[in-house]
Amino acid sequence: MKVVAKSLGFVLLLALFTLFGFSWRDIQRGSLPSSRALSGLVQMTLGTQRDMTPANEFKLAFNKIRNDYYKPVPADKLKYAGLEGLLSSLGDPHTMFLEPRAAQEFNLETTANFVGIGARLAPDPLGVKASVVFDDGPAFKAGMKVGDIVSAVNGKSVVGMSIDDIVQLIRGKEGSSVTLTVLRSGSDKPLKLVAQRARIITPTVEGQVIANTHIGYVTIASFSEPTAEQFDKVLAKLEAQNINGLVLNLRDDPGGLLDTAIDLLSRFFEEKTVVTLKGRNGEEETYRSYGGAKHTFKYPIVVLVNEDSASAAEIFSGALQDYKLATLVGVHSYGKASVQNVHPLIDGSSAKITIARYLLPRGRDIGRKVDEDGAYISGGLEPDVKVELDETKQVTFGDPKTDTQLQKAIEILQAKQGK
Amino acid sequence: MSPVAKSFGSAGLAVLLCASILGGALLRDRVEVGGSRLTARNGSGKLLASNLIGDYEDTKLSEVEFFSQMVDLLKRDYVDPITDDRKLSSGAIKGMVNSLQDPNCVFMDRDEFRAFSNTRRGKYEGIGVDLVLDIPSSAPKARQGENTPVDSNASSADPKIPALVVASVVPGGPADKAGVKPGDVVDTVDGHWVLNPNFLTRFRAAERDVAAGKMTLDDLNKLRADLRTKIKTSIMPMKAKDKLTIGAAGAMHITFLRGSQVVDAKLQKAPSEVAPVTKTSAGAYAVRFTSGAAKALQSSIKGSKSVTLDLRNSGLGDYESMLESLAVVAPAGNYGTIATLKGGKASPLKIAKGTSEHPTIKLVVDGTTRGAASIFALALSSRGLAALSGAPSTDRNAVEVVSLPDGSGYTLVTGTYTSGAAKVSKGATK
Repeated sequence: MKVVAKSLGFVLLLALFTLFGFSWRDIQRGSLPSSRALSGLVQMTLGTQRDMTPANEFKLAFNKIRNDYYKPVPADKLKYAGLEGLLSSLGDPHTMFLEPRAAQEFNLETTANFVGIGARLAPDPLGVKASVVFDDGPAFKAGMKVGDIVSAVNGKSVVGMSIDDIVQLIRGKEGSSVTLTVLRSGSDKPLKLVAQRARIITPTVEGQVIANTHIGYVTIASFSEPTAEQFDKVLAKLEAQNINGLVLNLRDDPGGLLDTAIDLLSRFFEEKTVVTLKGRNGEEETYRSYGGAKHTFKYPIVVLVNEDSASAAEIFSGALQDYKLATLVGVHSYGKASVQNVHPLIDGSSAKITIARYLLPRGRDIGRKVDEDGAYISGGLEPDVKVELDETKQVTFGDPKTDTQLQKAIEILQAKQGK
Repeated sequence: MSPVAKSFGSAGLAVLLCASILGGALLRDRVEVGGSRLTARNGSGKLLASNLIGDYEDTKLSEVEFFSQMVDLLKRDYVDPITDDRKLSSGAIKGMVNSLQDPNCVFMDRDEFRAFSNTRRGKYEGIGVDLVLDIPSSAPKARQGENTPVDSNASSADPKIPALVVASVVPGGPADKAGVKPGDVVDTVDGHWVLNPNFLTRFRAAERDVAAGKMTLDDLNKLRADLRTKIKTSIMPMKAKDKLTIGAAGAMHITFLRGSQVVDAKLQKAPSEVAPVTKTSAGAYAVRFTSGAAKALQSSIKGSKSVTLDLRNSGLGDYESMLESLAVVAPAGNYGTIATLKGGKASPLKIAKGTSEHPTIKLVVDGTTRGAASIFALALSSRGLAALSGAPSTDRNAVEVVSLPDGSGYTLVTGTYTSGAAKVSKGATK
């Protein structure tokens, strides 16, 4: 009995000393062993392969593909593909990795200013077509008109090139010049326009009065930093024309900054809940509109949404719906019920990570649900009046002749005015 | 106990105790070697640009450090608690394998890899077929300078949509009974359209027709609407592959494209099995390079002066089994080259220990003779050891199968076969 106790004590002593040796590295630093080291120890004693920590699994596969695949694979490309896969393995479509180029573009989108010529371009068989020319931008100053087709950049033909590649050619350093060869209907010779690239603040809000009505039609293209200020300007212009109804077009609006949605909503209601964030430990945080910016809308409002209205655009529309400040027309929105944080990383890439889910003022969770094939099941804002577009017909948003959702909006607004 | 023995004893104990400390420290090294040495305390400190003080360029993280710091960042910030680290590494590996955009390099999750590993032993689930993702060489390419209208949704990149093609059919399996043939393209599965390049090609052609005034814009828009509804109910080729190859029960309704013909098949999933070597009615041996192929082949051809091996409908084949089988029918030597596209890096296809008593071999091959089987045929014919009845598939990849600890796995092409002095015997080309 005594011998058993003695040897047991000795074995315990041995184990203690071993643990001491194991932890020596940390004891020197005055801390406890990291959880990673301990879990490694546990895995080892349980007989799992010691090399097979997830980090090592990643490393093994990385090296294997680089060494054994029959084609050369650039290390950076493979690393980024791995990180993309890592973030998408969470099954959350909004948690993603942005490699440096994508991260840069993402940055441009949210700040809405970049160096360019100040025109919105659309694909065209002969190059790119100017669909919008921003007032007082470089393209405007160079004499570009809506409908112009750019067929060459700096003398190089861009016929048949993709729009992304053409835009890359047109963009450049601030202050430098770019020569655009432009085809314009009504002129038999190509025109050469020289535009000086400048920092452009993209208009995210555009407005007009719909012909033969007194209804204002305002498109909010995204929720960027200057959006609220641009909204005020556009609205003032329209109100000066005595509008008696307002259509806010948020179709295809992918959203943007939550702060901008709050900013904008503060024009509609004061000191009320916009959204409640629910974080990872169940903690809640309520975002409220602020006072002092409220605008008096003396006319009814319709908001147009579709399946490409997402994120901040949904918070904005959903809050107006919950407070009964607007009628939602169109089809259900995308259903992005979460908030992301973008972490810029040391090599110029970024990680966009979902940090919280949001609930609308009345507690609605509009999170998109999809089946295993990624097809939509439920989620998004349900419009008050459902109108689907006829997909066999060419529809131009904002054109009351073809845009049936806008037709419905006008109908609703006119009915309310009649009362 | 004598005092001497006692002091020896205690000295021994002290040594043991010291050794255990050292052992512990070594253990720590073993646990951490190769992995990231960054402790949880450091977290993702080095990863975030905002935490950098001073010069950007000085800080460089290795790929694996980048990976583990990203995992730490997720653990700190992500909305749901992260419980399974292994899922993250598998996801990263999936991302890397898929980024190769090679239809022969496929990441498979646990279920997919189990089914795949079983087929390498001749055991099949689902409808009893081998499926491959084929990127047709005639896939539409958006070349620069080509004057084709670009769909507003299309990107400048090549639309590399693969078609899901039946590579082989298990004799007597559900698909075989339903009349499915190798080469059939899977078009719909239970009413869901499987994304494939055919429709895109048609759409592009229609766009050109509109540009040339041969088609009205209205018809194009109808086509666009049709494509949109089809895409809404579509499934990705990999998903369709799962439905056809995983599970041993359940009814399926599949349509296949065979040339311009549409083949409608209603079938029942069931387990099926195929032996590596079976005797055909024509007296030939049908060979599949599954595990055990070499042994089965050896006992089948024992004593024969001449044999006919039927390599049609031969499945995906296992590269290692093929090499073993080669050694059963051919003498030692080099049988061509496994070449890479990495600056002349190549290795010979070598049989170290062959056989001297090899029979005269006739090989029955066609386009369904793929991968390992295709290499087998070309290797033998390159040395004049076998006559080919036709041309095997141009898929001649040496494929390595890698399994991961969580049960998932992936395939990796390590080279393509070229027969040094390729000589195809007479009558080989149809």
